[in-house]
Amino acid sequence: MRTIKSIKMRKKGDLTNNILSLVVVALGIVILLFGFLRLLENARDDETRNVQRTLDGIVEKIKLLEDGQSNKFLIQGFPGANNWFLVGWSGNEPSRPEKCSFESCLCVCKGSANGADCQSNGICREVNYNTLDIFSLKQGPVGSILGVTNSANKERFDFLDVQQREDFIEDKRINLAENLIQIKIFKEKDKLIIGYYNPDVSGLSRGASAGTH
Amino acid sequence: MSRRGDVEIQYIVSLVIAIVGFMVVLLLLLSLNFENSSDDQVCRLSILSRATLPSSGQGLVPLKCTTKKICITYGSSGKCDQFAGEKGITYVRLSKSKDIDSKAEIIERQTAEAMYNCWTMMGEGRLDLFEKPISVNPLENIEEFLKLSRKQSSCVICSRVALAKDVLGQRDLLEKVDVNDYLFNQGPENSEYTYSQLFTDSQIKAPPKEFKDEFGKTENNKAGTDQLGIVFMQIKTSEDWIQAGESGAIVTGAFLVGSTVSLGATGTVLKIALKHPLIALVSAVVVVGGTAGLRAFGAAKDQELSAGYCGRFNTASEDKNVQGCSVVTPIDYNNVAAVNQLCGVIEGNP
Repeated sequence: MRTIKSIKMRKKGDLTNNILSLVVVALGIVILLFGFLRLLENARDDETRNVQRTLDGIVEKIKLLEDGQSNKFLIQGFPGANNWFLVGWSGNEPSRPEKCSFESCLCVCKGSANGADCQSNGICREVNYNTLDIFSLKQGPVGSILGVTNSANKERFDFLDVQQREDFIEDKRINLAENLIQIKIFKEKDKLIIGYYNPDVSGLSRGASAGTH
Repeated sequence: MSRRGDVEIQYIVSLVIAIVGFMVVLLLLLSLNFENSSDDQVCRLSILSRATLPSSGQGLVPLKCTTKKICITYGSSGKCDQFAGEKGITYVRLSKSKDIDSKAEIIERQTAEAMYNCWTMMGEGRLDLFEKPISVNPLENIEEFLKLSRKQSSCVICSRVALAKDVLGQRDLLEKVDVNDYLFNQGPENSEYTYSQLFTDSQIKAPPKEFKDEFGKTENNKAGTDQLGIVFMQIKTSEDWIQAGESGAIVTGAFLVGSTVSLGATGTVLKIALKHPLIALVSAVVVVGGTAGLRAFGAAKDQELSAGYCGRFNTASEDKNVQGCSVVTPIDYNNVAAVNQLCGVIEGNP
């Protein structure tokens, strides 16, 4: 026959064991959460590092060109690249991100890649050109709502050595890709032009409308 | 009283062991710092981490493989314009005093080594590395399969091998370069096997005449390039159509592939296997002139072999039925259309 004292002792033992289990479970959950967050952080760091590497690579390629020279360069993609845009601001544009201070700058930014987006979610490099002209040609909405033709002008197609297409529009940004893209850079003393022709029809779903900044 | 004391001591010891154990795990997680390890170690570690995760969690572990840049040049100051503005370039200097055959062999070795290192680094195509499976059966709808593959196939560009201008000018030298021959006759340092044997589980040493003839056909010849990308590509499938295909049983396993012909591990030559997923994919790239060798532009007989594997993937996760095809292929890196035809997504670091 069990006494009240022995029952109390057993309950205390159970409680001790339960506390131990609870502590182990709590620590396990903390460790799992921590590990999961570390993995996420790691993945995000990688994306930022790759964006940085891509932008630095472009800046270095620009430096290698002589004034009046142009060349085509390949940009290797990375996971998450299609969320990022290459954009540029001339020194006199008021809408440029504050981090560009008073200089022209080249940025790779997330979101719609306007000045505010680039300020909070972008990486920028100052460049010494008064005028920066960044554009991409891609398939746009076929026939605009008001019937106004918004197709890109022929000069742009000529610059990129591709045949003009009426259904293509001009975007003032270059959407990076998760595979390979080829950009063309032209450099003059005070002017820098970077262009990209996106033949991929699915590009429509990525950068929906012609961006302005 | 003594029993009560025993319980408390046992409780405290268990608690201490648990806390110390968790602290060790925590420290390991905190030391998850890849900065100080070599590129190859980091890459291998990330591949193994990914291969042991279930498909749904693979996207959380980025592949930390950085594309190697190998520049083949003469002299001490030669540079490759292809790598303009890029960092981490390895220079392979050809000596002008060496004879033409030795110099050609150096170029062949660089390509073969880059292919083999990529293949072994990626687990010889047998590891389950990428997230998205392709649901279309190529035996039923090859067009749709190729369309989906272009979007869903994942690649790692292991290396880019480029020729500097001073080497590109040496047409006599480049005409001598024959990587396919090197793959069949040479092997890595300290290995008793040739590259072709290593790619095919030690089975294929010399290609049968039938294979050589098919591979050497004029329509399979492609112009060379000044920059090769050594690309590892994998497609994952949700159905067991690899085995089920008309040639599935022969092609399952490791094999060599080029244009529309493949050489199975048993030495069987397959010419009609266009419905086979891997051959179809490689052939699609050949059509746009993608697979090429490091030769002068316009050089003939310059299509290079790729190594492949089709079958079940080794996985430590609960997905026991994961299967698909992997290939390591030299591709004309300047041909954007060809690279993008093979790679929906490029993983790793540029």
